[in-house]
Amino acid sequence: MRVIIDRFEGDYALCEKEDKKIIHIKREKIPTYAREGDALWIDKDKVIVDEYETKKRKREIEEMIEDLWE
Amino acid sequence: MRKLNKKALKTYFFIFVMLLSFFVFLTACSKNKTVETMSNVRNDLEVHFMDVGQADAIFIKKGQNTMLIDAGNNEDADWVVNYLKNQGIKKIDYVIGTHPHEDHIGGLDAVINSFDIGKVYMPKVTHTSKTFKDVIHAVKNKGLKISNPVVGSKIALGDAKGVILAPNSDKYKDYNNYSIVLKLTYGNTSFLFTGDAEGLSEKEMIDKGLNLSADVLKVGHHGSNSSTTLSFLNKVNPEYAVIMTGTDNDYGHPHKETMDKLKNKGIIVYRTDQNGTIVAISDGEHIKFNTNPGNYRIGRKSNTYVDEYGKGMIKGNINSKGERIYHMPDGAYYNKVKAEIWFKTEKEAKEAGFRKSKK
Repeated sequence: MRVIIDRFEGDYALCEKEDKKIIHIKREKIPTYAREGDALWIDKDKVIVDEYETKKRKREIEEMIEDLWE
Repeated sequence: MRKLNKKALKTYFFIFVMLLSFFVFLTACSKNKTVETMSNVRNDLEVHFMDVGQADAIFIKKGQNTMLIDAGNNEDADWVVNYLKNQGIKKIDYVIGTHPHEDHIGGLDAVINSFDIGKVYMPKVTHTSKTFKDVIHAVKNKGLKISNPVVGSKIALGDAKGVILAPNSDKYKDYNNYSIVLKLTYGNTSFLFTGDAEGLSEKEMIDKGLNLSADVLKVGHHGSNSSTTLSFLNKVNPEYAVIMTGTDNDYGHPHKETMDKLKNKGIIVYRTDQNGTIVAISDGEHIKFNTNPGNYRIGRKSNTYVDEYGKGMIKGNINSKGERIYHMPDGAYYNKVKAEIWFKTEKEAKEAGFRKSKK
């Protein structure tokens, strides 16, 4: 399952699934270097930061907002 | 005697005339008064701290002018849109998404899609979430632009005056400090809306020498100890504090540190976890609330139910009708029910699509 770290609150990383539902993942289960906005790949109990997906999404959204702020 | 009578008559007549004129004066007054209160209602500043649980959504009305600061979680979208529709509005002049977290901008796309929108303010930072993308989509579909929240820029909501006080930097390590902070003043009353701004942003505002004093403080970050530093609270020096938080949330909001500071300063606290939706009304001199204040109780984390091996004890069962129901260890059917799945917290169970057993 792929999720995006939306935010950190207390002991949890609140992650957004593809359907925009938010799930709580204990902070201790994810790599310490993971940041808000990072894409995670979750396989059973293994959680890795998906750097390729993270970069791809950052690029996509940056393109989307070009000239949107005034 | 006759003289007295005459005198008495005169006195009676005088009293009668006085009473009559007083009565006429009263009716005139009461007529005036109704006109006055009606125009007052039209002139009052209304601030609705909408009960979206562990999230923010604030609707502000001044005469014909309206503003929305944040729109709750994704799952609050319909509720927020309906709340606004029930206010009888078609247009929102200003929409502020304080920062890109889902508990603040979740319902924003639905709001933008459902109403005429004047201006949109969001800090210039992006998120990789679908939630954020959907908000950007909604803005673009309407052919709108996003206004950069430059500190010091003014927003007029009718004759209420808004001024942006944060963010004061353009790069932060986490999203909370990007929060747009807005002070809104009507007559001699003022409100400070802080989103999730944390101690760092609070310090920047203080160091800049910005005028932070306000009668009502929307407490930063749901009452978390990450915000509401004592120096900031002293500068704001509010009479009232409003905390927007969900009952028994997983993070223990509002935290003890925050509640202690508010209590020690004798600040009257209103909180959505205890009061539901809170409406503050200002006539320019006084602020009235639609509910009694809450108390200084700190947030309780929702309980974890595990056995000595760390295995969850809440039973999840799918019944013959296909209903997903979870049973707490003290539930009536707990011992009879076959567990198809175990949960550690009610939150986990709900996130898996289970509802609590009625008994």
